[in-house]
Amino acid sequence: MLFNTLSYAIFLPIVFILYWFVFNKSYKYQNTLLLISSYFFYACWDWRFLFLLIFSTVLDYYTGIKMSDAKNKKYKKYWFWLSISVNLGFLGVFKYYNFFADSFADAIANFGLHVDPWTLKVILPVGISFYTFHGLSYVIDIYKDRIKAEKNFLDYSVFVCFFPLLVAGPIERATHLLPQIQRNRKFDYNRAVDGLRQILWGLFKKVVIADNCAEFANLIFDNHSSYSGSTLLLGAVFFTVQIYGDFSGYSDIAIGTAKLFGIDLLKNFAFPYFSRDIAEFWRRWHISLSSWFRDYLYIPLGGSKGGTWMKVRNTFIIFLVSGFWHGANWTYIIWGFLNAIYIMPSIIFNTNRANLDIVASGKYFPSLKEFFQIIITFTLTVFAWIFFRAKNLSEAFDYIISIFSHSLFKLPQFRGLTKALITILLTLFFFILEWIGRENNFAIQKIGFRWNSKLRWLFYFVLVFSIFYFAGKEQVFIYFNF
Amino acid sequence: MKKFIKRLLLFLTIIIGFVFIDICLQKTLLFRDEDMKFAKNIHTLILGHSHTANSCNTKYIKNSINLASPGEAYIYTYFKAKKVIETNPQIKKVYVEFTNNQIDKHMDNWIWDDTHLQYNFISYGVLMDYDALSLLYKKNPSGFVTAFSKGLFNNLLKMVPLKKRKIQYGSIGGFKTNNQIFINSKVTKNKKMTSSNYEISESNLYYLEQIVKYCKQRKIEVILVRSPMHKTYHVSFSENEYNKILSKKFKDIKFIDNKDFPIPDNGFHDIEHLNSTGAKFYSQYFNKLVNENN
Repeated sequence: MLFNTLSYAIFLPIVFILYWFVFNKSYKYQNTLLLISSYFFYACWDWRFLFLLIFSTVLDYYTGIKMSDAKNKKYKKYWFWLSISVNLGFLGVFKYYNFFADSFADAIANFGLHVDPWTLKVILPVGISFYTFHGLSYVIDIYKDRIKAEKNFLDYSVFVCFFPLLVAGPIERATHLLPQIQRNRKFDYNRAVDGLRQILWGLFKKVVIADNCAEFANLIFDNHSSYSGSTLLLGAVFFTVQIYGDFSGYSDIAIGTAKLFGIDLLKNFAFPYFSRDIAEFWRRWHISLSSWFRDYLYIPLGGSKGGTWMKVRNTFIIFLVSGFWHGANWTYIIWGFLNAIYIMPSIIFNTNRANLDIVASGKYFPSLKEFFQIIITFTLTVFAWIFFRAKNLSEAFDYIISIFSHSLFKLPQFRGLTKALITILLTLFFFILEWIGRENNFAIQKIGFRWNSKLRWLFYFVLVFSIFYFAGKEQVFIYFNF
Repeated sequence: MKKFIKRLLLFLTIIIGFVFIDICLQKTLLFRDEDMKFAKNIHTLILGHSHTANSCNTKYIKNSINLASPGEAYIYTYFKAKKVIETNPQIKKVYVEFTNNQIDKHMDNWIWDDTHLQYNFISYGVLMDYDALSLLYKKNPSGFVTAFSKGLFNNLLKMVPLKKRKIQYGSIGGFKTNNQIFINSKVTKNKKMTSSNYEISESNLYYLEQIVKYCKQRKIEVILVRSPMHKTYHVSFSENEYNKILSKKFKDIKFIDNKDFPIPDNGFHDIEHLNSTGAKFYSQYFNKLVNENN
């Protein structure tokens, strides 16, 4: 079930009404409803993988208790590694097995030997990377004695399977989400309205911005050999906007939905395309994953404590792993590598925390310096996204080489130029609103608060009708593939 | 909670109210009878897709109106024809294009792919019945919602001049002038088609049957016509199926096959469509055909 479908528009109000009017006697009833709804939500995609999700939940729940009850470290370590290996094992089989088999065959072929890789014809269970990381953080936190194991299976299951975050995050932490699941939730009017506003903005980002940009990004990337350099550059920009609209739109809908149930999820995006350097970009893009890697990989590897060399090494590791997390393809690894290269100067010269504040806070416009910093950072990310979007490395290199041809200075030419112009205008409108609202959790959170209520409602109506009127061709959420 | 539900319902009611009023306005104003009425002498209606739109110039065909529209599947033709016939009881004959590509599975895209759905739904959505709407929704839910939403706004603009107006040629079909002359290189397009696996579009044929049925009910003569095609147009890959359908589903219906009608090369725009020169030549012949018994 996708967030931008009629079935979700029916599902959500039903669960909402049951949650606040029928199951409202106790949070335990509400949790039961949330779990059933979450399983239903997941089963709508493919019921067979529900068993995998339940198995993963049971495994982490059980090993968590076993670790908490362990009388000695050895026993605790045993359960810890059992959980880690099984979780990563599933991820390995479903997501990475074919990649390793093919890469091994390719490597052998370089030595003149030929092997037929035995590949598995399996579908990637939707959300496996997200719920596995969910479970891993829980198990690691117990192992490190940061939290106690959750004894209530229902509460733990809701923590793993809560439907808004189940398939594409934000990747939650037990310390943040579990306490909210284990207490009575009271309906809060302001939070619910804020949630609806965030859902509306998320839908606008996904349906109007991402889906329209996707149409042109797909057209240009899929036929890149026949387009001019300027068109290819525009295609890369379209994809850059698409992936932001798509993923941050999904996160907004997820966070907004959770608010309707009285639950706050972690922030996942903070206007990343207004970043002044790559380090800032990574503090603002897919925050729940970046912070996951920081807490569970970068810091355990030594973080920044061991001098510049260790920082450089650890930064490369987390970016390469992050690239690999996105998918079993060399393009993602190179994308991670490229981002590591981008961030390296700030790591070496210790300027990676130079831009912790919000750009041009309290001002209408950025300074000229900030403006150029934003443009440079944006341009770097555009080039990195080419690797992310390309089907393979040779396509990515071809694409980039073709951009830097003499045709870079010609006017872009492709089918549907008028529609593309409308999309560009909508994107400009979108970025203006994002700029105006950049000091809030999401762009339209406080837009119109000082207006007359009728005018504010008119603004919401305009957004609602834009979603229907300017809707692009429906595209699956990109991060469903991860 | 009460406040939340109340305000949410108010918000939704305003949206639904707008949609409802818009649909009501479209139903009453978009195809007003007075706008749809043709001259009393118009007793022949010509329908079809681009083949007909390019070939039948009603300047040369007396007492007729050509409402063929390029890229139009029979589902949209059916609802358009129904409305036109209802408001023009003087219509006694309906010529409907029936050519090889209209039985092809590819026609399904003409019914419900995003482009065709949006274009045609905005024009005829308001005339369609529940079955047709649910077919379109079932086949392309997101495309349907977008087309529906676009219709709400685009048709509002169309309705702004409330004064009496005639439905313009072009908005619901009509003869299309084309002055380009046939270029041989375009033949390749047709050669590629011959290699495809042949499948039938049942949905398209169903609505052609509906057109026939409706006309019969109203005692209107229906004649199926195959418009002229260039000699290099190969129909062999679908001809068997085409003939089977003709003899099975439309055996009682008069069929005029003008596929091989002698049009010189300079009368074609491409292998499937006539240009203005060809259309003039063909329309003069068609005029005799239409008016021979009148």
